[in-house]
Amino acid sequence: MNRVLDFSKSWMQSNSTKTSISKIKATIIAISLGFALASFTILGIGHNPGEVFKSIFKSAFVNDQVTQSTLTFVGLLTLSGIANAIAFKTGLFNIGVSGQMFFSGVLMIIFGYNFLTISGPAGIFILMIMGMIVGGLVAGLSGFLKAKLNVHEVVSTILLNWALFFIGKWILWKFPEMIEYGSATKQLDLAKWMHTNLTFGYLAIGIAIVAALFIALIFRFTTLGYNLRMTGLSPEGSRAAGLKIKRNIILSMMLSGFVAGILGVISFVIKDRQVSSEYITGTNLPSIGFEGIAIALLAFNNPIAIIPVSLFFGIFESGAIFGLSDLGIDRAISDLIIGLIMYFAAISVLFQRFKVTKMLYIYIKRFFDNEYSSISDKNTVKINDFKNTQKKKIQEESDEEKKSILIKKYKQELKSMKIDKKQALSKFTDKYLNDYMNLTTKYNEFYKVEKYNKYQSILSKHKINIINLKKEVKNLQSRLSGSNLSEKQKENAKNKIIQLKLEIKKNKTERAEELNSLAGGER
Amino acid sequence: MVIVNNLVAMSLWFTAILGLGALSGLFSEKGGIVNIAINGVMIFGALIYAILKKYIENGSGYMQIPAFLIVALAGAIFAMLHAFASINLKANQVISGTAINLLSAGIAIFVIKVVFKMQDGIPSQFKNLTLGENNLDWKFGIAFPVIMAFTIFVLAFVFLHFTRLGMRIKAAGDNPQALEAQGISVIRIRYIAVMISGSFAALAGSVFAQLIKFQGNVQGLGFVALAILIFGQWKIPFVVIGSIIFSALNTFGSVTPILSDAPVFLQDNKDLISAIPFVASLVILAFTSKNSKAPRAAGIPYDKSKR
Repeated sequence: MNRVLDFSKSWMQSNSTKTSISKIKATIIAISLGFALASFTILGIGHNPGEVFKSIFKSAFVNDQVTQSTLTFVGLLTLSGIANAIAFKTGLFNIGVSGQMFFSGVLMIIFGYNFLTISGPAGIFILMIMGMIVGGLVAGLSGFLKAKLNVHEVVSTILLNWALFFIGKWILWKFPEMIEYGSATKQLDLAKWMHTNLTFGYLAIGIAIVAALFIALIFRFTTLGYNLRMTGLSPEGSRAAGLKIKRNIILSMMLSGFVAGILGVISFVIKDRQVSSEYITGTNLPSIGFEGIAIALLAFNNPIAIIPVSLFFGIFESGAIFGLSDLGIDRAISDLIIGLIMYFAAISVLFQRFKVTKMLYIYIKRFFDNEYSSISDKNTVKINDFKNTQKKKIQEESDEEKKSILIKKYKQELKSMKIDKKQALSKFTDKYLNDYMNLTTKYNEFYKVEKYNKYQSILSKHKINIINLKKEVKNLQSRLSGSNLSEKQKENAKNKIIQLKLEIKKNKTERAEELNSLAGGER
Repeated sequence: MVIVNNLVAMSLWFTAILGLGALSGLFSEKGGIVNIAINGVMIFGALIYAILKKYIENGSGYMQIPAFLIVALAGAIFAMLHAFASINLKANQVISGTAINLLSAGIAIFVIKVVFKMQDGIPSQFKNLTLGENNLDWKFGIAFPVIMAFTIFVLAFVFLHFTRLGMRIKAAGDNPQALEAQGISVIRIRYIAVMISGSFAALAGSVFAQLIKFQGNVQGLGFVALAILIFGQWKIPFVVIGSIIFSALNTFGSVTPILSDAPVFLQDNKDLISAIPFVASLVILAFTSKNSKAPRAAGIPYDKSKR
């Protein structure tokens, strides 16, 4: 138990934990600010935000069918987040996830409907591999353009998005027998069994989790992942270190495109089983690719952290479909909320610098400090009185010139009064800040002292052991040099010395290990 | 002949839209801030224009003029979101731009569908101030917004190259440290550049809304404008020539196939033709980007302590 406590203490104190905590804090602040602003807009259109959010989160799991589609949403968002995060980690920006997934999905629907003869899971597997390759090639093209021809990947992926959107639709119209009523394609029967026994959600989320783990492992433990990460962190440095930057750029885009391709197959072949009318008649790309950007940012590009973030968004989006229509609100509001959260995610650097506990401490202190409130009240009353009397004076004055002089004077005095108020109050803020700093330093000192004591106890414990052992060795050696011993006794003594020396070594390594564990992950 | 007439008229309109959009990107990047939020600010401008049409229209076409002015102001204010994130917070400029694209699309759809409860877009066209009757006459292209846009092209060129503020904007994107050494605040100049950029983009969006009923998007034209900017090598004359070429392509792709007397081939392959401007941009970029001359400090947050 003690060891667990020690471990948790050292874990809490380590730097890496502190940075990840500040990241989680920034994410939570970004999401909650987005929701807060959204709440105001919901209030503005005359609904109760609490009710709206409750209804949204409730209707995500109304029945089995909806639960499955919620899970699919989570899986799709996870994959989209991963596709974006791969590019981000290499210092690239793949805005083309939408286009890549659309092209791969549409091609696979066409292929599955017209040419594929294998049915069941094997057929789905084949389509998935093929979709993956399509996505990878398209994204790889952007990578190639960036690496070899210096076309910025943001521009090329955006242009490819639209080009592929129209080309995909053009190819679709070459198979007019597939399109029903001129609006949506006929349904592909391949994944029908997953819809009848309601397992498609599990498949989607399963693939998403496997992909997240796989990508996390690649980036953590393989040379490829290391190279990609280095290229992202410092292109100049990795060029100097002899990494093949151009190759890494193409590889990273391809890897991102592979995930986008799988995303397309799951979205079109498994979830919708068709190309729905919103794409055939409309001019909007699938929005999931863009939402992945926000998810990757909120998860700080960590493939594993993407899963909980997309769980949240998936439940929200899936619930919004039914939850909002129940209340008679258009779904457009979920787009707005995601846009808001996205902007806050972009400026989340700001929230990383936020000191929540510090601010809370100061506000609470202010609230309970009578002196502070009395001084603040006194000043505001004074300013208000001044305002009222002067305004009356100015109104009563009829001469224009005198009036303008009065107004000038009034403004100057008001300014100086406000500054006085600020100064009077700033003393208090300084005091609170001081208190806060004292508290934190005390807290840190406490841990430092405890740590130091432990350090000393470990040292002294082993020191006594080692000194005793060394004494024995010396004794034996002196007896050996006395030479009034038989051959057998001499050999015994020599063996004993070796044993003791080994023991000393063991003690020393033990000491080093204990000291290491005390230092925790701090290095 | 109808097709040619229509092509000329619509190309002029699209030149105004794309040229203003590309100039928006140009001003921002000359000032050192990468701006891929052009599309988003265009959507915002179009939305404001549509709202103004709902409230200030009185049947006269001249109400366009105050509407354009208000839109330009609103765009400058909206672009400050991008300026704040990328100048003050030193956030990633590309990401902040994408966020604004998503945000303004969200706002537009929200306002149209939830606030005004209109499922298929807000009518956003004031009475046209043109010489032609409809878009089957080439004189339809001689319209107030088009003339305004071409005037802005000339004025922007003069402003950027022959005024003190214009020179300072160029310096902020090329060598901000030298500018700071002159005792001029780089941050202030960059703010001005982004705000000018925002008002141009919003104007581009409002010209779009004057041409086509606003449905919550601008058909991705802001991204085409971005490609034109790079194709034009950050030079105003090239950018204008580029937007003329691209708007002809775009008209050919998106408007011509819808005409009733277009050839059958065009009608059958209209999606493929819609893809042409995008594929063409990509091909042109592939050949021209090898030695592209972007402003040297574009995309790099300004840090006083760096030399």
